[in-house]
Amino acid sequence: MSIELYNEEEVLQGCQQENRRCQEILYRRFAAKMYGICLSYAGDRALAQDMLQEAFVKVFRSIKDFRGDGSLEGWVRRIVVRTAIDLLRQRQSLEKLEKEEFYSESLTQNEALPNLQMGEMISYINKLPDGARVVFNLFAVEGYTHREIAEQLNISEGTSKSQYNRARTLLKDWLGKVD
Amino acid sequence: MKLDKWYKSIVEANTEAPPEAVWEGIQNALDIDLVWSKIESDLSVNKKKPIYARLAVAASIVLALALGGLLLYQPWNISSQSQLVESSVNYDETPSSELLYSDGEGAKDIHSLEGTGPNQIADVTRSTQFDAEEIDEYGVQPGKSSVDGQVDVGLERIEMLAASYVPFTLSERVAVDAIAELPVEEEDYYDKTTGLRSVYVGLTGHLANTWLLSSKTFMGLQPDDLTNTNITFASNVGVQLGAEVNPSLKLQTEFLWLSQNRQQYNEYLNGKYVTSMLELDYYTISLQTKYRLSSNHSLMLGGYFGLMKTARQSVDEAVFVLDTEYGNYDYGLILGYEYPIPFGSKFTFTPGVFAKVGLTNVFTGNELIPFYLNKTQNASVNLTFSVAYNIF
Repeated sequence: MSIELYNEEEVLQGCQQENRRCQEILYRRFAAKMYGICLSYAGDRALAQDMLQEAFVKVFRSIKDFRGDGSLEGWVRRIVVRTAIDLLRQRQSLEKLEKEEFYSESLTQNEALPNLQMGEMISYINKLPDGARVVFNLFAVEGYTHREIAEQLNISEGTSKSQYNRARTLLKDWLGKVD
Repeated sequence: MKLDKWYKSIVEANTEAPPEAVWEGIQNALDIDLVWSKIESDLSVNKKKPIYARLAVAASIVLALALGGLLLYQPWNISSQSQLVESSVNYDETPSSELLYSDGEGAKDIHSLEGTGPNQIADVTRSTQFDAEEIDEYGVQPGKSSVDGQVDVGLERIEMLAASYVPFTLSERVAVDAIAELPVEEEDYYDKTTGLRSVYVGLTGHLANTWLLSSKTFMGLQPDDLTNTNITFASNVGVQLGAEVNPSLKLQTEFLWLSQNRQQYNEYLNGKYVTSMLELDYYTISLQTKYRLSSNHSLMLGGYFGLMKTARQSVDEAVFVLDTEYGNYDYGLILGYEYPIPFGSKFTFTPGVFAKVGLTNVFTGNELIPFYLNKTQNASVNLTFSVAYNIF
């Protein structure tokens, strides 16, 4: 099956008519990127796969409601992120988020960052506390403000900032040890 | 912020594809959704079923009453009515020919009856009320004697007749006499004992494009479905017995000892792409009403009842008996068109086309699928050819 033979509109229409072939095309078109996002939230592959599966089931169940206001990829991505957070919340991973004092220690422009692939990166992400990992992802990858993160996770803005700084500090510390 | 950008670039550049098990899990979840939506729709259909059943029963009753009424009030019943008249003429010893009409209008009425059709005459004969005024219309003046003294129908006489309940009026007597004097035309010939114009027997055969109306068949018609529904043909053979009850109407019954319903699919079974054929064979009896539109065009409406002979599924070379999965009977409606062509003095060749639709779910279920999840109805479009011999 050639994914590129179908344009996005055809795939979207097919998915809205519950056409299995179009559903598979849409899944395969976004699967790798969304899997990366799931890995960044989950920290381990098994949980990331559960997140991805549940997210795409939600995508296909609700795709009839997609009105094309934004890009299809952005819409799918929002569902993936929301599903990831929901799953972590179900596992009570986000319940112990508390405001912790961490100093913001930004890497300087001159500091060299290691050339890591996602596979190596996962080992570091997995070490982050769940709350800090989610906040860092929402801020650094999704581009949410701390106010928006606070609303989504039902925490204070201060807690969001402190969790973000915690994640940065830990990552910086670990990455500094990378050869 | 450099760390953030660096981190984001790694996440976004991920090229690691998730394992295939994720897509299989998604498909399983979507399949379950499909099954539930089907169950919901089937349950809602089942809720509506009693309404359809009641409507079907009501429609059948209306149809039966309409046909019954049609049969009762058609001219082929004149023979029995005239026989009744003949056997019960005890109203007056006076011969009708001796009746006197003072102004001659009655005689004119008799003449006018000669030009009327049987329906109007039958209408006259059905009137059974004795009415002095009606007699007046025929010019019989109460209390007056006739001109030539043959019959004197006076007021006392009328009252006496009324009191003793005479079942036929003078107008009826006039009509009976008129019927007796009407010439019998060949066009209006009918058998006096049966009331039928003709009776025929024949052989019939159908070339049928058969369909098993089920979700599998419908899904197989969609180009992207793995199952492919094929157009399937079958044949029916039987005998017929019919009667022409009036120039416009025939009643016919057919018995088909070979009545086949077939549906062929190309589908994945046990990991192989195979050709399978579902074969339902019945003994079928049908009752048809044929209405003649013009000399060679007839419309046909009727119903059929089928008794299951065998139910099988052939998959490539293998044959599986499915008698327990399909019901013992089937019934439904027939609607069609015929073009009868007489040849010789006694034979008729009749080509035609008709559609047959089953009204019942013939699938009774198996250990995996309950009957209501695989509703299956027989249907077919038939080319029909028959040769009939007119007994009389």
